Amino acid sequence: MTTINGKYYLAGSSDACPALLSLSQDSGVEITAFEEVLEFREPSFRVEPALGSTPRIIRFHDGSMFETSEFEKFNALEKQLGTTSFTASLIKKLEERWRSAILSVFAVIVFCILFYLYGIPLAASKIAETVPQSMRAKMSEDTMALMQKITILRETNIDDERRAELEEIFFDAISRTNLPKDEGYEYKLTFKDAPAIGKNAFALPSGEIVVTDALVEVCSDDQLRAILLHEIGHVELQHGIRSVIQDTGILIIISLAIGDANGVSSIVSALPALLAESHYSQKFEIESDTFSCKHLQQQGYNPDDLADALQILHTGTPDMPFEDLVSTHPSLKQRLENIKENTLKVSP
Amino acid sequence: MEDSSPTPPPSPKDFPMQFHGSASEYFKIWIVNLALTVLTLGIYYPWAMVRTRRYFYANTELDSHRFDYLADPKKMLKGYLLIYTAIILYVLGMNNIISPFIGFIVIMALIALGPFLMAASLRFRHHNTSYRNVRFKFLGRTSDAYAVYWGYALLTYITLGIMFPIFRLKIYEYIFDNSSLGKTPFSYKGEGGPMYTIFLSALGLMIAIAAIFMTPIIVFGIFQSGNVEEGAAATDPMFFLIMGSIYLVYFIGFAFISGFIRAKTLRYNLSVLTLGYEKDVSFKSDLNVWKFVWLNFTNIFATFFSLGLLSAWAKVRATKMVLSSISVVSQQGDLGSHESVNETDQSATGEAAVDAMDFDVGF
Ligand SMILES: [Zn+2]
Repeated sequence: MTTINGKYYLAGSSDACPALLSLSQDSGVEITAFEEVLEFREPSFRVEPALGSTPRIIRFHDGSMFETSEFEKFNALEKQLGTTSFTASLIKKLEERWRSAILSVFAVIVFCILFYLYGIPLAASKIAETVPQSMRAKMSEDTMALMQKITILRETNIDDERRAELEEIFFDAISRTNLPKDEGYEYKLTFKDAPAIGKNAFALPSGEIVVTDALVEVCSDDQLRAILLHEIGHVELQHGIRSVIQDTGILIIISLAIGDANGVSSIVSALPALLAESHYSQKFEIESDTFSCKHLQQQGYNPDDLADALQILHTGTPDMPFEDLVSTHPSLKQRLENIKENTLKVSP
Repeated sequence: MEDSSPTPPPSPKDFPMQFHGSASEYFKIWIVNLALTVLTLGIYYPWAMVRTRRYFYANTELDSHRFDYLADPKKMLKGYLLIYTAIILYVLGMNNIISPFIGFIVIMALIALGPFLMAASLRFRHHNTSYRNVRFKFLGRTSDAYAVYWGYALLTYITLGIMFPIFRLKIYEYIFDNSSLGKTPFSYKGEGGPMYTIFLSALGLMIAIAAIFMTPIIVFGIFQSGNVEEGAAATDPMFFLIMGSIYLVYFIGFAFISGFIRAKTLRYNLSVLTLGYEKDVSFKSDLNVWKFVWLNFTNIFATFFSLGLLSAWAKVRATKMVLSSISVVSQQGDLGSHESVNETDQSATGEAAVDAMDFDVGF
């Protein structure tokens, strides 16, 4: 019969002595320590699951324990006892092998990518549907206040007549989209003189759409209609709210995931969050372009107006460094191709 | 083990700490547990946490006996779920997705409960740490935790940070002076003077780093700002370059200073810590501060550029350096006999909370 050398620790004190462990007659274990033989049968003892190359431990119901580093003998004894649970031995096996370690690296990466591409956007659009108009209005107010702080939004210089014309185009476009009315968006067209952002337009979650004087001055009515439909697309598809939820989700996950890498977290989490946000917003731009294309054609206009408008807009935006990596808008080429694709799809 | 023969007075003896963990072995354990955590959407996290933490405890040896970590993951799961819910509610509230009022209430509750959770966490952590089959114990009162974490934090705030070293000292005092190994108490006799020396030299270093790195950036920035049109600043490439440099300096400074403070406080705290009624067991660390600063620095960069993959290696490396610098000195020539305390299990919520909120406890 095999005996295993180890240490026996008494219960209730730090006293320990060299001891021998062996199987007892009736499939329990026997400890020879302090010149005595102690016998334990299940369930009065518990074998601590193996962990790396740390010593193996058996804990006894009276609080005493046996510890050994004779791994091979102990494994054999463990097998004979048959006390190891399936999951414990599976986890130990996974933790020992390089193959499973490498597989784990891939599993983590693949899971994160899938979750990022499908999980978060899906969850965000489900949550966005539950947001009431009152909260959308509140979010829009906050966004405007923030815009006011970082760029200067001055009163418009466009005369009343021209504004009335454009508002007519705007509400005409909305009414002809035949979108469900019960979403409760409060559509509103606002003009601002904002040299800092150049030729530009943006949509707020409430339904308010802001266009800059510079944009109105350089675009034709048809081009403006195309841009306005693009912005209406942002509202109807709830891109504003969805992006806030997605960013928040990414932030929560990153901070939970590397929360215990003390201190490094705040620095490390900023970069992936930034990249993630930019990817999502590029997707939204394409979605809105497609929305605009579809409705332009349904209303009897030419999607080329959108393509032209985008080209005009593009010449105005200052080129940022690392354009492809972090810029909010996808490359112009990509968007123009998307418009062409959608034009072919609808018109025969 | 007992030696009762009347021998001449025993001579003091040093017992070095040893760490047996290996980076490759820990990497495999860590990544498998991480994968299981991710694939179970976080449910497995307490099991993974206990297993990875136990790896460090069970590989730490003193006087040919190992430490151990005995926490029950099932008990921690509830705590984690509670805390994660709180964090998610808070973040959602702050981003206006749910009523900000809910977020506000959650954060107020966390602040109100902070010291309570801290004390609970220390009780749980100590209770589940053992050496030679004797559990540690934390005897600190919750009211004292409020005095330290609220009182001294407030004092630090009022004095514009001048009291910060005292605040840290009080935290260490609260943790160490209330700890015991079974029934054998630790005592901590830290003083304000040395704490001020540590934090003032850290501040000096920080200013020096900032001066060396920031001056060229600021000069460059002022020089450039003359050429930038009004309003265009936010999208100007120069703006990104300058922001990037400031970020990098912050990163370097952080990596440097955090290592310095950790090494210095570890050395000091151990030098004023004793164990036993007669205070006959003392501690010391001969950790080389600059070697540790360099290690901490390289660890942060390696973790960052490997996207976290090297964090397992970094953790083993740091633990090895810190633990092998520590030795326990006994006036009696042995580490004594310690009786354990009978007690019921501690609640795990505090532990989960502190872990989730990333508090920096002790060393
Ligand atoms: Zn857009």
